[in-house]
This record gives sequence, C-alpha cells and structure tokens, in this order.
Amino acid sequence: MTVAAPPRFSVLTTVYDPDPDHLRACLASVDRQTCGDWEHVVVDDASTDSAVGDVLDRSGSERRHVHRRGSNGGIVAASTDALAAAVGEFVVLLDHDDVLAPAALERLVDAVDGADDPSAVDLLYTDHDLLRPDGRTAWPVYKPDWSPERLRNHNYITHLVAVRRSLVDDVGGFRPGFDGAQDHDLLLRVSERARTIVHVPEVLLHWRQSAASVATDTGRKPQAYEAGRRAVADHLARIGVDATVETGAHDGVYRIRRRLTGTPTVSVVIPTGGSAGRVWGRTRIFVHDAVASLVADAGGASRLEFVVVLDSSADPVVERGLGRIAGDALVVVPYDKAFDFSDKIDAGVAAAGGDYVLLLNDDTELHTPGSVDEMVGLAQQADVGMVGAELLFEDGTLQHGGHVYNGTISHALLGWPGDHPGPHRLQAVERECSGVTAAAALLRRDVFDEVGGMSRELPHNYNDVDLSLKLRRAGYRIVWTPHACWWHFEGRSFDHPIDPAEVAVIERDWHHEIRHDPYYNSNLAPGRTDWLERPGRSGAPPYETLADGTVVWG
Amino acid sequence: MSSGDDELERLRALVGPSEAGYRQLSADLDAAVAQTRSAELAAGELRGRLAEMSVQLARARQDQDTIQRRREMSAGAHLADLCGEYWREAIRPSLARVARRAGLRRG
Repeated sequence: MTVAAPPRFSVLTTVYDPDPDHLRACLASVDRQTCGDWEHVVVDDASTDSAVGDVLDRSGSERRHVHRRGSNGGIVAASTDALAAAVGEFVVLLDHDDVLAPAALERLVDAVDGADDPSAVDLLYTDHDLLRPDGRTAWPVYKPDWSPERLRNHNYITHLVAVRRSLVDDVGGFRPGFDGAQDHDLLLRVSERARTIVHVPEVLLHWRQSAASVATDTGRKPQAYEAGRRAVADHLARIGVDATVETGAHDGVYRIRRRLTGTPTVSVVIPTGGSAGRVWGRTRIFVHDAVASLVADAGGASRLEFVVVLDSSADPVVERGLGRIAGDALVVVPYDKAFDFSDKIDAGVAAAGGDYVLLLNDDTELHTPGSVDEMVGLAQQADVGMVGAELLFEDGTLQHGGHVYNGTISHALLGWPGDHPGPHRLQAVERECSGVTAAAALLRRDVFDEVGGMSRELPHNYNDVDLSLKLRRAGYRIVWTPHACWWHFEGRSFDHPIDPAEVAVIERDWHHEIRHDPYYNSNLAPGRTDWLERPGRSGAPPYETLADGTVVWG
Repeated sequence: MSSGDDELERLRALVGPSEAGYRQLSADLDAAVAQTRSAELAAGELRGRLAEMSVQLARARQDQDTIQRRREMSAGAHLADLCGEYWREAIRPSLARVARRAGLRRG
C-alpha cells in the first residue's frame, strides 16, 4: 500500500457569515488553480447564515475539507483549528471573501523552486489588489522585498502569504488575544526565525472590499489595530528593542518610540564654506542656523558635538558665531583645499569623538525636536548601517524621503506634500531604503570606518549613493524615518551639471544596484520614483466579456 | 539730566531710529518673515498637490492609452495580444520551471 505524499500547500480559510456569492467566488478561485498540489482546509466558525452552510455543503471535494465549529470562537480559534487539520508543507492564508489569481500557487511553487536553497524558504508573500464591489479589480499594492522595519510600523504584507508549516508550529501558531491582527502577529513571529523570505512581485490575490472588511472600512476595526499594537510591542521585546508602541496617526500604522541605550555621543559633522543666503525673506549664515537649531533642541538623550569642517577662506565671523552658539561642543576642522564633499566629510569624521556621526549639510535647520534621538534609536540596532531623515524644502514639500534606484537615482516622491502619507502609507512609516542622502544621515562611527568612509572618486555627486550601497553590500540595512525631519534649503532645481566621470564611477561600481531597487517593485514604471505603475498595471479594469461574447478592455 | 538727554539724542541721530522705532521695525521684520514663511508654505502645499496630481494624471493617461489601444485593435491583433500575454504570463514561466526541474534532477 502506498501513502500519498502530502500536498505542497494547505490553503486555510476560516468562514463566518460572508456573502454566499463571495464565498463561492473564493472557493472557485482555489478550484481554478493551475497548480494541483494543494488541499483547502475550510473551517466554518458557526456561521448563522444557512446559505453559507449550503455553499459549504456543496463545495466538498477530495481536496477540500470542510470542518464546522460548534460555536463561534473568533478568527484565531478557527484558524488554529484549520492549522491543526492541515498537512501541507506550506500554509497559505485566504480570507473567506478573497479571490486567488489562477496561477497564485503555481507562482509560489516557482518562487520556492527558483530560490538558491528551496529548503530554506520559510515565508513568501505576493502583491495584491482590491476587488471592488462591482467585481472589478483596482488599486494594486506593489510591495517592496523583505522590509522588516516597515513590517514593524505596519502590516505592509497582508496578502497573499505562505508560511512553512513547520515554522508556524515552531512559533506556536496563531496567538489567542490577537484577533483582527493575528496575521500581522504571525508574520512578525515567523520573520524572527525565517531563513529566507521571498517576495513575488505579482498580484496573486484580490482582496475584497466589503462593508466588514479592513480593506475598506478601517474605522470599524479599532480592536484590530490595538491587537496589532500589542503584536508589535511583543515583537520588539522579543528581538531586544526597548521601546513603547502607540497607534499612529494613520490607521494600521504604529509609532515606535525607542529608549536609547546609554548616553550616546553624536558628532554632527558639517562641511561648510560659511555661505549665507536668504531663507523665508531673511538673510542667514546657513551653518549658524543649522547648529543653533540643534543646540536649541537640548532635551534629548544624546550628547552632541559639532564638528564643522570650515573652509579657511571663510569670513572669520562664521567661526566666531559658531563659538558663541555651540561653545565647548564645537570642534572646527580648517579646510584649505578645493571643495570636495567626500574629503571634507572624512576629515570631519576623523576629528569626531562621538560613537555616532550625523552627516549634516550646512543649509539645514532642525524641523522636528528629538530627531537625533530617533535616528540613534534606529542605529542602535546592530544590523542598521545608516539612518536617513525626512528633508523638506523651504516651502514644506518633500525633498528627501529616501533614495530610489530605479534606472535613475533620485529621491522618493520628490516634491510631494511634506505631510502626505504617500502611496500605501510609505512616507508615514520607518522603512528600509536602498540609500539615503548624506545631507542628514546618521551612522555608528565604527560602521563608517568599516566601509572605508566616503569615496574619493566622488567629490561632488553620488558619494552618498556609493556609501549607501557599500553599507548594504556589507550586510547592513539602511532605514529611513519620517520621525526625524529637517528643513533643507537646497534649490528645487536638480539640473546642475554632474561630472561625467562621477557618473562613470557609479556605473562601473553599481551598474546592477542602481537599476534594481529591492524596496521598489518591478511592476512600477522605470526611471520614476513616485510609485507610478507600468502601463497596464495600474489597476485599470481587466478584460470583460459582454453578453454578446465581445471581449473589451475596460 | 539735560546734558544726558542731549547726548542720547545725539547718539540716536548717529545710530538711527529711537528704541521704540527700533522695536517697531524689529516687530515688522519678524511679522514680514512669518508672512513670507506662511506664504511659502501655502505655495508649497499647492506645489505638493500638483506633484501628486501629476502622478495621478500620468496614471490616467497611460490607462486611457492602454484602453484605447485595446479597443482599436483588429480581431487578429487582439488575438495576437492575448496570445502574447498568455505566452509571457503562463507558457514561458512553465517552460522555465520544467527546464529548471530537469536541471535539478540532472544535478
């Protein structure tokens, strides 16, 4: 007698009083999978609608196992029952009204088999879109590759998720008390132990917008966000981050406030020629206001030292003014060579005494009190190599929201409103980036030294891109935070000439990296940094077949 | 006292307006800076919205183009387009998977 091998995937669906038509569509989407290596475990959590029971009665098959709970226990209890009945290598979570794309499971198989070590793939997730009440799909959510800091700030993954069954068991399955955020909680716990996490950049699940769904009616789910807040707090405690977690300004976004370890000393390294200019109608010596705004924010846990790399040709009034503003905290490094940003930064860091260095342009002014501590809090995680901040133009529009390397090197959402949460709230959350600008970037001193500091081949442009990519090559994460913010009085125009020799250096060293940004998405239009989709992938209605058989687009 | 007042007047004449005038000028300057900043931020809010809307517009234009192109296709072109999509989305990945599995078995 032979025993059949267990299926690759166990699709788990808990059911409680969905619209019967929606449930039918959900079940049919599993039946239509192009990959046959699955079982569907359905647990009815004591639905009260007899029509739901009828749908389930008719849906049984060799591959679908329907279980019925005697009483309603909530989504965690029902999911736990489903998990207990599942025998597949991976469990796939599917809500009772959502719809899988026909090739969803096949694509997951491809992703596992295509990995360097398929046996190490523990967690997979895909892009998704929303299924409108009229049956059309819309608003695709094209996600970044694995972004742990972002997952702590909000559940950017949501659907579709497949997790290795053995790992789900290892972490204890679904936790009671986290109903509504049980998936976020599971993702956080699984991610702590997962060996390989794979993102499939393809819309493989249609998340139904319905009255009771978090997809449309976030205001009805405060208990889910409270459960999510506790899930994030527990996760941070498990990974050793001392922090409090609050529900954020946007639904489903969590605000993490880290307590700093020790009393960090931060050397603020500012290269300057002592130039002056007009800001909001008043003339200022830029570096004076940059330093003064930080001195005024003296209530933080970090101790600041100001290392100003000052051109020897600067007016003496610049240094005298700095002395009055910063007092004993000032270190002046005279610089008598031709302008070379990289060399000036390296000279400043060499003279710095702090455990952390904050690289800061002179034409800045602190916007948000506590920004330095926010950045140090992130940089105290051992695997974080550099932390970037939000920078605003003089008119309040966004100058820097992290770099995007997408066939072009630029800033995310350049020129958008500074307080805009951005597509999929990405500007409202701490998240990994491919790089950040050195106009305001904080690193641990030893990390800066480890990667050799700034590139002398890039005296004017792209030196921060090079630094970012060196850090990532060394295995560090680069994190951008909206909770640290400076004004940056840089010209809005970016048409200044770039030395072709510097372009050649970046192309020589980082040709692949500046075209493949793991925190962007291949479904987004190349050469842009504003999350505009490629043509045909923006959620425009799909093919429709009319009653007379005519196929139309939209 | 009188000689002191005279001296003060003389000094005022040398340095410009009176203290009251200086305070007024200073307040005027602060108000002007605040208004400039406020106007700059108001303009920025509009600029920011334009930047965001230009993305929405680009999205709408490319959607319109896609839809229009599909509608104007001949039946043959439409069929070819669907076949191409089926090739890209289904057949080619399947072939790649088969090839990969064959390679794995050989390995």
